[in-house]
Amino acid sequence: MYWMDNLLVTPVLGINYKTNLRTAFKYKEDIITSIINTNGDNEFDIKLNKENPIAILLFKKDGFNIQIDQQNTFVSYKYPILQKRKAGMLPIIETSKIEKYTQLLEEAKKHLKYFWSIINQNEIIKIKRIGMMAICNIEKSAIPPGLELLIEHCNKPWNEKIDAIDGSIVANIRKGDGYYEKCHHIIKYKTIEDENKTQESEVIFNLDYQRYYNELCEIQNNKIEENINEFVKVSLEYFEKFGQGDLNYE
Amino acid sequence: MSEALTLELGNYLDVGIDETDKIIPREITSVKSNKDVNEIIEPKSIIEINNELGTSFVNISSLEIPIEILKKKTRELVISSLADKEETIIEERKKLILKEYSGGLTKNEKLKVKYYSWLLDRIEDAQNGEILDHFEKLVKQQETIADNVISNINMINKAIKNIGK
Repeated sequence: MYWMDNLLVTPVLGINYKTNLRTAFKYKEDIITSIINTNGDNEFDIKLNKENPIAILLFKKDGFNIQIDQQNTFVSYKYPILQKRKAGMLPIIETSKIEKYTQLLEEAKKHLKYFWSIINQNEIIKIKRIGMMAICNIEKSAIPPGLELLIEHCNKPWNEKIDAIDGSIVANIRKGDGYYEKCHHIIKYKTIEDENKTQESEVIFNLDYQRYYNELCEIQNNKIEENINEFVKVSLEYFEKFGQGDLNYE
Repeated sequence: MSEALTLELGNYLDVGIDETDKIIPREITSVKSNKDVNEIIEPKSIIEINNELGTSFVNISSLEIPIEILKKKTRELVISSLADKEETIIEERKKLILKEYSGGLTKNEKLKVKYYSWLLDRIEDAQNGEILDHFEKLVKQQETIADNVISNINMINKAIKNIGK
């Protein structure tokens, strides 16, 4: 029962790596071949970037986006906004059914593993870091207890309550064997009421958990699933801990 | 694709919502999509809008979810994920509150109480929030009407005074 499953939260899951242009061009070709071979029902829209010849952007109809270039491969999700057109009428815009964060994350993991196995098939790519985000679209009245505690904590140096928070806190979370982990807490929150209470009552709150390897790390294809699963588990544990307020605020 | 919610384009272009929550797509005379853009953006997400001010382009993929939709969608999610767990959460919270009176709670247990209360708030909001929002809107409308009436009375009084001079 993760707190993120009860709010409109979407994932980003990605790998940052070091490669050379020759390898990057090779895997770009492999990915396009793979998409063409498996894209029978036009599941993906492919977009290429004029400025970066290696970058590929894949838009899946269900809202998943996969971006691959010479440094990053990441999967993100955005609720698709679709247009329905009727002759002589304005377009109708639809949003899709809302899914739980953990469900979306499972799908993101599958996509990342699939594309990473293609990228990594000819030459083992050296990984710099892995990251996972929780992008929270929250209404002010629904902020989780942990964020409320952090805001209260930020109030402490002053006699009166602060009006707004706008920024990012990068915290060192833990060290493991050959890596260290940080979490970016990106918060934009106004405690004062706006006169025009519309979009302003929304809160920007994103968590971005990153694992940095001390040295460039090689992960074989048969180990990538295990590694991603373990990383996602650790990140989720921290997100949950933060959201429930289980940090030392004293 | 679920039929969860349908909105006309007007709302996304900040055209506004009238008192009955109906979207009024005023000022737009024609809308069409334009795929020939040189940016990395979702295909078919650029639309061209022609109105009396000229032509402009809007990338609908970058538009934020309006707060009304955010609320509605979040409520749907809570109903689907928490509605059947409400009794269990109430029970767990009750146990902890009773423990608080009998011998105190640990730091973790206190956090759990807060968390369970937050979950129950979410459930309550999902079940009754829409009606409460509606009442809130009605109250605001009444307040606006009252303000307008007062302002009109003041204007009339002022005018009467000026006539008297």
